[in-house]
Amino acid sequence: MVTYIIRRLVLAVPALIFISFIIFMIVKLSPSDPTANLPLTIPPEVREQIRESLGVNEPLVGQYLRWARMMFITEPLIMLEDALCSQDRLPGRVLPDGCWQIVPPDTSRIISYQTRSPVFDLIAVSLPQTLWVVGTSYIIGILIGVPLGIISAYKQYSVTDQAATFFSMVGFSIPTFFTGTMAIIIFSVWTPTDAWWWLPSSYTTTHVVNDWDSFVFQLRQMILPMMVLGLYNAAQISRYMRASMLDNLQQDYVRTARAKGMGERVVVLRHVLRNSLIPVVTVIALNVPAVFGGALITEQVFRVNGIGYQLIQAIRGADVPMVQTISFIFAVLVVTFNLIADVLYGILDPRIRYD
Amino acid sequence: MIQAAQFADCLGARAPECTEANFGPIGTGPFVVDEFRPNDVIEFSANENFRNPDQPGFATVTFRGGGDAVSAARSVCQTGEFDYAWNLQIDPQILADMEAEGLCTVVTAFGTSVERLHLNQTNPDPELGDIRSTAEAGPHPFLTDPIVGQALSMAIDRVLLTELGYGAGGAPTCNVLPAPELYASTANDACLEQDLEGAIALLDEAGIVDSDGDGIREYEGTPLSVVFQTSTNAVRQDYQALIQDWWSQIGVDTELRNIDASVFFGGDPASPDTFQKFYADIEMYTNNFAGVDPQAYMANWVCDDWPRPETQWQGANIQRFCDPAYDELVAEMSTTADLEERGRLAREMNDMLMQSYSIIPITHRGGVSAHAASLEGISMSDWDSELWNIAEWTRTPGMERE
Repeated sequence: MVTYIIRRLVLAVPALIFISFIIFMIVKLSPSDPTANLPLTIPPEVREQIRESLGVNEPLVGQYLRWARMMFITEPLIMLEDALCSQDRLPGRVLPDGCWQIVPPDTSRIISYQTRSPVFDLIAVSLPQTLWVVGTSYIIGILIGVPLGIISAYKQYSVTDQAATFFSMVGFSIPTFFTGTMAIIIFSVWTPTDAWWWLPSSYTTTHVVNDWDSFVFQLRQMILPMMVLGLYNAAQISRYMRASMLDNLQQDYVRTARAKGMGERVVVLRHVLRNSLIPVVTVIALNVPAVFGGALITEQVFRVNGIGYQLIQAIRGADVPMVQTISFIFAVLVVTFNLIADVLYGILDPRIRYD
Repeated sequence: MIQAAQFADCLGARAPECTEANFGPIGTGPFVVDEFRPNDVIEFSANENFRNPDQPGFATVTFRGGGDAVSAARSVCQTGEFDYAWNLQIDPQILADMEAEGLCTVVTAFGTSVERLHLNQTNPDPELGDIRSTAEAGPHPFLTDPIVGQALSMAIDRVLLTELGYGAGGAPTCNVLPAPELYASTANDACLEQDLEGAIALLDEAGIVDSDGDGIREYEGTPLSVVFQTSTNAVRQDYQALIQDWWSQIGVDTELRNIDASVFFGGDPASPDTFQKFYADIEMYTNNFAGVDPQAYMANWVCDDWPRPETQWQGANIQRFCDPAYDELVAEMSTTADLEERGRLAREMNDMLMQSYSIIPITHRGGVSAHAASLEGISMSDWDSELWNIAEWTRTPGMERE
């Protein structure tokens, strides 16, 4: 198993480099000018200097190598610097005394065309929101969806199953921009602002959790987006879980297990569930990257300044470096979660151990 | 006003790199930036060194971006989470209903913004390829004739459009330069009244008639078929649909296009869909000028300010108007100091543009904002930032919040 993981990790490196090249080229081929959004008063020769300083006049391969150096060397080293240093940076990206400055402060970084600030600073600001809101709602979706799927498969056509099917059809078929707006109208507009069940309609990204009250506030502002996304995710997962459970419940080994005198609890939770989880794990793991990118409608409705929202803004603003970087991060997530899914198969099913 | 010392290293080509200076400029205003998150939020706190020790009236300001106009209005007028929302270009009825709930007050102010149609004076025929909508393409087959433009203008009911699209936030206008008062012409006000029959008669008299019986008039053999583009926006699409209908009644065939605002106004010289490239016969958008003096604005329509490939399609003379007499007036205004005389020149230039019918103004648009009922001291102006007197804003006594 360990050799398998190592082999997969080693293979992932050329794959990611290839992906990064493709992403860079595809995004780059779209016509865009980094100075297009600047005020019209800037004279043409200054525009040319700005293009020059951003390196867009070099040949494409040179530009790719420049971007790859920043993406794979400069930015990780800067992250490492930050991780090793407990103090804040001084102006001009200089580290205070006692910290290890690996990257000279004037090294060029990937600069966003839109905001003229380093792309990774923007991602560092928006990633926590995505993890908090989208991540927790995905976990909640799993926690609701898996048991719901098990129950409705085991008690097929019962009232519980009908209710669960209804719930998942509702969650699956109503788009999140509709459920989101409905939730805002019910819990933010119709509810009096001083009631305990009133919930804020937009997400405050600068909120810092440092005591109980601020934690409660954080929880309250997360409830609406979590509810909306959680409903959608739970609906999807419970359908897969139910279908997979139904397939397995018909198998001979289930009859054998029952014939051996095993309790229903052991039959369902140990035998059937474990076998049914394999397709569900694939769906869950492979959906994680989609969740990061696909929650952008919910992020827009509740103004969560997450990474999907940043991507949309970057696409609209023709912010090539930002689009390239975020797309590549998504690619890394896809590769990583593919690997995680493969490893989980091995844990769930000893026959698949790849050794 | 920004500090020279802070931006000393940020001039010219280094401008894109000065993140720290750009995100926290040192100025003289009532608030200082604490945190700036692009596309999201800016947090300010009161400037301790502000010139007036009693101001500002608030300790912090949170400035949220993103979202659409409806949700911005909702956060002020319905949930009360925010105190001020600007640029509320939404259905006037929805906004009025929200205001009726009593949490907010809607305020409007008029500056110089005019929603107008530009009639391409050059030929945008796609068959011309790269040279279309440039001087090389030659004049437009029919829109350079003021008679056609006049008929298109007469067919439009500006009062109805404005009422429907902007409510109290707009007023019908016949001038591209509607304010300040000194510069506003009254020579074109007849356009406020829709006159479909007059438009039909005008075209008939000029011999622009439907000769082949397909319901569309021909101008020297060219059918009056136009492509009419604007940015994607509910109000603009309403305008387009109504105008298309009126024009069809006078025998003009209209094809509608709408383009995402970020592309249309994005100015990307590589995109065929920008308003500067103007690969259409007619386009609609709003423009205005900053400050109160129209000299620079009226100079937009000089002959050599056409957007063209050599200027990366930059240029303000969007409809490609050119009249040497107009250029002379622009030159004269730049050497005239007397205010009355400047007023006369500006009005004359406005009338010249209007009578060329290369611009058809429709609505004089005001800024529409909403503020919480508990906020006092707001004196909205469209001549400056709406926040120009934010130092004087206070909370109504007795309505303080935490």
